[in-house]
Amino acid sequence: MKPSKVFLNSTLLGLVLFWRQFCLASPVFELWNATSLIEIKQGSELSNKMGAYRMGGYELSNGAPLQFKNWYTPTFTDTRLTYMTQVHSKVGVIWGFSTGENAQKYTVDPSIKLGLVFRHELDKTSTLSLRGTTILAGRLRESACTANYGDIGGVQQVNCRMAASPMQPSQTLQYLYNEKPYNYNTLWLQYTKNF
Amino acid sequence: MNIGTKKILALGTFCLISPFAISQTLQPWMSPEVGDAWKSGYKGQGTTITFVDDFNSRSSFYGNFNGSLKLQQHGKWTSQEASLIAPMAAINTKDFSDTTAVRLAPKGLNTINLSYAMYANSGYTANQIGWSAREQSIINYATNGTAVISKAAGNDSGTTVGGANSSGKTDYLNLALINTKSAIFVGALDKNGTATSQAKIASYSNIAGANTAVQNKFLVVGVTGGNDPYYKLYGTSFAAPVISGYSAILGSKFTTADATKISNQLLNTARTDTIANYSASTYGKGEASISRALAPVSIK
Repeated sequence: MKPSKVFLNSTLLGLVLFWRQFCLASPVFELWNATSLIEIKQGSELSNKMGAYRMGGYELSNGAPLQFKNWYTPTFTDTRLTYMTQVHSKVGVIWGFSTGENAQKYTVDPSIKLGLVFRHELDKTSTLSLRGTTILAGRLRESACTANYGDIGGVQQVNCRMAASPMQPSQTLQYLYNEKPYNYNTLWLQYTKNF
Repeated sequence: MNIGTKKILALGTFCLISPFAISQTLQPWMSPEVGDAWKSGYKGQGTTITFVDDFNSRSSFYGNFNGSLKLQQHGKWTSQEASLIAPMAAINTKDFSDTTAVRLAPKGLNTINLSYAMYANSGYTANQIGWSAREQSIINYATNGTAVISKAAGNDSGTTVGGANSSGKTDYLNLALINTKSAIFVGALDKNGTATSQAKIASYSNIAGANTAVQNKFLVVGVTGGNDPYYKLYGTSFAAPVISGYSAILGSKFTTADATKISNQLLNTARTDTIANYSASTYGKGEASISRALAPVSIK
């Protein structure tokens, strides 16, 4: 075996051994041990809001039914995972993410959730908890449709859901959803008494 | 109208009245499509409906269109009916005694509701009629496509539009409006039809007839008499205001469409599946459908 190769193999083995030792003894590993999954949730308020339109529809001018199902059914439902890492006997860090969801006529962006929780034992049977979280990103955006109204109105951009309403097509565009997540900033104060 | 021996002299007033108190209550006599149309959006704003009718005589009728029993003239009933369908449309009234030309609002879609007939002995052509300035202006608006003309087809029990009734009389205003761009003849159904509960022509209503020019300009709507169980308001007089209301709703959505396009949209989106034993000679294009008239041809 050539000396250069011996040197490379030893170095690689050394790096692997170093990394293993680092993980077992590192703060990262300790933090992971102190982390708990506190929430798995599929669906969200924004997801549910758009889901309510899946059963809707209207007739086109020739009477052909048009259903919203294909427009408002996502390929994957927004899913959130939230963790809590205890960094102190009384303090935890809340962190998590959501996948977002996509449908033909709307998207919910992926998001990150961050927060803190403070827990104080008042006595042996009661505790007081204060939790604050914020969600970054996760916005709902609805897309417009292109409608052909024929001789009376031509081709126009319109809110898909309102294309058959009496409202002027251009006026319907202001009703396209563009919203932040529900409860994107929350503050919880909880008192627990065991008896 | 002057046909040689008879001439109506008239002095009257043309007045603009405020719209009736805006009402958004779906009345039992309305097609259920009207409620769907109201749920979001406009209800006729930016448009004007002019009613040529009786507003001043002592001839009054009991009826109930909005939950209240009233006694009022024919014109107040027809204008109230249209106003309940298109609450945001401006309402102009022109008493029947005023034979001066109808003036149109300068902006927005104009619709003229004609819940009356101009009868004379049959045998003349429309060109032989010496029209007053009022009817001549209406005929001109229809010919030029500058206003939607919603014309009651008539209550001569199956007489064809433009034909002679059983008394040998012809509605020459109907005759004059045939082959115009924006006139619609409105007959009455015995109820608002649906695909599962089909309507048929009301016994008193005139029909389109064999003339395809009339068939292509003929619509029907349900006339159920109003809310009162005893005092009913029947007749094609109360069919025309429904089309006038629909015209106003369309005009407030498609603000760049002229009267010809508005009237064509109502005609081309009429339904035949809500009518029992549909035939063009009786029902023309079919039952007016405001929901289909508002909808797109296609969307993606």
